[in-house]
Amino acid sequence: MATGGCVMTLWDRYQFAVTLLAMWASLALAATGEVPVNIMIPSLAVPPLAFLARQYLRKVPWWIWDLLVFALFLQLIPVARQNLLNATIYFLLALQAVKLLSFRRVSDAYSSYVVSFFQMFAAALLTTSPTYGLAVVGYLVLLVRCFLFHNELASIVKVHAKHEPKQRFRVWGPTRDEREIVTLYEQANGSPAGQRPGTTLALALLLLSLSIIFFLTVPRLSTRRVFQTLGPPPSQISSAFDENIELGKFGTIQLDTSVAMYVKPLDTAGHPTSIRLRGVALDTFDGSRWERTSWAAYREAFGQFCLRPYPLRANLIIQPANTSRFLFGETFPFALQSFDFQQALLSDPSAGVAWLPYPPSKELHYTVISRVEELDDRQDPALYQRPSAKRQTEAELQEDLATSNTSPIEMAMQRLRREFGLESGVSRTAPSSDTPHRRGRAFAGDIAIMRNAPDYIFPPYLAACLRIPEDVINVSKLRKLAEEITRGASSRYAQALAIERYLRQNYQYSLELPNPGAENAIEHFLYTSRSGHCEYFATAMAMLLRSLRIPCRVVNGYYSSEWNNVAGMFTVRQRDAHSWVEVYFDGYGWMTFDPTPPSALQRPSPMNPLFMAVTRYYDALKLRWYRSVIDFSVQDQRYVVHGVLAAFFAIGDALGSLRFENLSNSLSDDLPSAGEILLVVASVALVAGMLALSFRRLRLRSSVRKRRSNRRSYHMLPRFYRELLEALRKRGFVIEPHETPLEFAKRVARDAQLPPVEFITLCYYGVRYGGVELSREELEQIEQFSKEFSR
Amino acid sequence: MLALMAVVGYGAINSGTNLVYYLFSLLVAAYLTHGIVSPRNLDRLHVRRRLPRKYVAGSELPITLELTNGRRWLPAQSLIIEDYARRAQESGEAGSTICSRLAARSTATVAYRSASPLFQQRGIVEFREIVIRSLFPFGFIERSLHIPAPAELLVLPPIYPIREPLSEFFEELDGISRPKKGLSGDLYGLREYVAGEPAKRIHWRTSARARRIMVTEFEREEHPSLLLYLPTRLPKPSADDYQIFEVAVVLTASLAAYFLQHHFEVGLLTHDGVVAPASGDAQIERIQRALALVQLRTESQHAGLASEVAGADAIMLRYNSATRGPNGLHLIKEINVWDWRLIGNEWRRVAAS
Repeated sequence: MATGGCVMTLWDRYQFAVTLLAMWASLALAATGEVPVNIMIPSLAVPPLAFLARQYLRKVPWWIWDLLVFALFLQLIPVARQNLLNATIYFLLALQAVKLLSFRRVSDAYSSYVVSFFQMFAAALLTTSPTYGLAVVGYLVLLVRCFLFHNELASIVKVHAKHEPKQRFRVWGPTRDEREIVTLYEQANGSPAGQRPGTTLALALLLLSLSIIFFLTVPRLSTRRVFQTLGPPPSQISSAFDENIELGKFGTIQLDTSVAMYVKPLDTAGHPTSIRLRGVALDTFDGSRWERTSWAAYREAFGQFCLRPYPLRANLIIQPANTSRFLFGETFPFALQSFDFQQALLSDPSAGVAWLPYPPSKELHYTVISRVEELDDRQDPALYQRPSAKRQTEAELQEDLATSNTSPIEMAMQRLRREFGLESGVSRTAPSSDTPHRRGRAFAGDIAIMRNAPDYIFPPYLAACLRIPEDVINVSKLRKLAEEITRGASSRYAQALAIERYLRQNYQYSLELPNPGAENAIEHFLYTSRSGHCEYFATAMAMLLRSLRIPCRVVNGYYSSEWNNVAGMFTVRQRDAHSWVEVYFDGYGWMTFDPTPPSALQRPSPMNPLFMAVTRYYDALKLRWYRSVIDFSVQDQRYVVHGVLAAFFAIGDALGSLRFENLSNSLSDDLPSAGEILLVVASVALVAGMLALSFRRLRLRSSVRKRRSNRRSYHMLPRFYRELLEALRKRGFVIEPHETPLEFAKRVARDAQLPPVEFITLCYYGVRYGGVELSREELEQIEQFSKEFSR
Repeated sequence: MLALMAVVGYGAINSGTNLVYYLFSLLVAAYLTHGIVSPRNLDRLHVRRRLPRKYVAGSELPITLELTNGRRWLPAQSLIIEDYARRAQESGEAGSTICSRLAARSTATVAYRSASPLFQQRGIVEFREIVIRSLFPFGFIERSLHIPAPAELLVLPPIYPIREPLSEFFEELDGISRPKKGLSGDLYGLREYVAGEPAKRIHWRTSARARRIMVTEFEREEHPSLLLYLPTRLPKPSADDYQIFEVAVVLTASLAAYFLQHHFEVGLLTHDGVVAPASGDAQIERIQRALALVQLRTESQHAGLASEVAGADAIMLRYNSATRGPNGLHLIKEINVWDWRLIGNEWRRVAAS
């Protein structure tokens, strides 16, 4: 039958839907950014090429395609051998190509479904990006569409294949051409009406809703054994955060505006205006390069470790993949918790840093509890006195830590909640203006406690923090300058403060490398150029302090003041990378000093304000995705279940207590609860009302639809009759309003000498009004006549 | 599907990745969605079978099924409707068809051609039940709804044309009961039209002349009467006898049609009963119905012929050497069934009897 040039048959549409699904899964895999380009390009190209080949090169035997695919993929074996990931994707791609090219039966699509699903599976292992959510939704809709198509075609084949003569035997492959069966069915009966977009969307929505419910409730068990090695192999990551950092490297990094991480304070009510994130503490300087001495690297139990037992503020850190293997935390980190690490966690309590054995291949999400230290609130450690009340608190805490089975991080969180007034039983209605005062008081008290806190300092580590590369730096000249700067300072704290102030006031901040290639970069900075970036400032201060025998170290991290008020978090970019100094005071511990001029830290935004606003919303969405999907944990499950149960019981209690005589009392006694319930009831009623109204509107609109039914009824005609009418229209024969189809056929047969028109019309009568399915012979006859008409 | 769920579930546990957990949840949800939607798809569906009034073996007439969706909102989709029947020792699927979509609170008519072997031979076909199957929505598990729908369909023996003129029959019949020449269908007279009479009998020219409607009257046609005698009792019928008996039945029906076309009043006589000679279109159906039910039995089950046909002029169909004409019947001719072959849907004599 003449099908027309651009008209796709039912089979073609089904094949197109399967192709689209395969393409979409490949695209989702490509969006992870982890797949090599030389595998990704064929992966994206294979589905459409296979579709076109099946459309236009139908006569090519299927085994030739298989041979072609085999030959092509032999060429790609070297690429696949690079690692397990590439090999897996390569294998999936080859399978997909074979199945799409040899698409002969309805059931062939099953293989494509499974392969595309495993592509989505691989993508899930490789990414945590919100774009994966979008990919899943699209995949789901396409998959439902394919399934509906599949059912239609499977039904047609199942019913009609029974009556097909078994004449087409092959050594391999199907005995019947299912494509032909489906096409003949469509020609005789028109397209099945089962796969409507509304049905697809409704089913996809139901599937999505149920999958979300399951996602929230399915038990989280993790052994983490098999797929750890699926990620790309560890490689050297160019980043500001490494154990060995050379002077001058920050000059290029600071220009990078890409997001380094997101930091969400768990108590957003009184968030600071800026945040200082420690990454790595460096203790050894050889004149041009800082290193972190590996004094102690403890393998800690997965999930959490304890640096100091005094938490003050908790931040959720979202660290993109491959940013750094070091974990970050607001100064000074105390403990961190995450269920996201897939590697053993290492920590150095002396340096107060933690890191992973190699950079993670996926984003990290962890909560860090820190003793926050703000530079404006610093005091000479010698002046701190331990308040008696706090001493009791400390004693209690120590006792708790010693006796309780509660983990340190849970203790910390409890304490944090107590300090911030978030503990259950504590009123939430405290005015927000009180929060800074409460926070300040809490910080002061905790700093006092920290003074006597046990330190994890090893003597060799402190010795390293005093070392000056004497073969490179003229120590006597350096000491002379330091003494000059600190003249009149009575304590070590005052000396450190004087050096910090001196550098801030007398040196200029510049991104240009001062005399790049100079053998002694730091002396050049101190005595000649007097300008440089933060790393030079920090190194200069460290060297000056060490010349005065004050232990100190350089810390690399981030300093950001970019607050996203939509997401309630800080956005930290690569350009926010920063270096500063930590000074050790006996009996107190480490204290932060930042010799870089504060004006240098106020970086102008390089982006368009409108774009910035948009990115904030995107970042907010991203954060929500991370929190609700990527970081969803067993604790969250407990919280959800508890919330649902609590709401259920609250509604039950409220309904039980709602009596007419004391309704007003109950409302006045417990207004928020009753109000919430009323709000819920009103919302439900509103939604129900809107639904009822919309159904009513739908019914009213049905009369409008009837007017359009004439146009639609034309498309409901059997395809062969539509094509006959079209062919006759081209010959100048149009059915008149007063004519029945048979009368029209008789007129055409008489005037144009086309007797078969009458036969086709009678077949149409049988199909349309008699519910008859045409036999194969009748269909073949009709096809032959139609070919003659269309000539 | 279950294997895939196991693999993905294992992957989720091993990787601890939430996105893999989501994919696992998606599979579970797909399974559950299918479990929820699939039974609803078959809920409150009713089906009614409409059998053709007259069904001739091998004719592949459409058997219509009226499918009703009694649900208020939800349409039914991707339905496969299978009709099951049995006859004697044989049972199976009578036919099947599909219904892509059936809107809520609506009725659709679907049909299937009865190409099943059940309809290839005469006799009673007993319909048992209609089964509605569906793979909707995801095809994981096929659901089915069994609706008892007992009914009976009498499959009539087919009639094939006899192109050859049976001249020897007419010669034989000539002196006995040939139709009267020149009288049949002659005009008897004219009379006034009575309400309800067919318009084709109105004689317009006379009516115009008389200025009132006049109709023509004809002389009553007199047809010769003939009985086709098909013996249905044999002393010891063999398997071949049963086969040739079926041929004899079809040939009897074809002969009946042939003689009716040639203005005979034709009747049928078997050991199971008698169809009194008559003419007209209804008579062939009566004979077919009778022939659809006759069974070849042993002599011991012999039943006497109906007394009212004793002495009638009859043609006996002989398909076995043991077949014989009963007493009291005036056999004017015998037809040997094995002399006849069905070639190209036409009866041909292969040897002169």
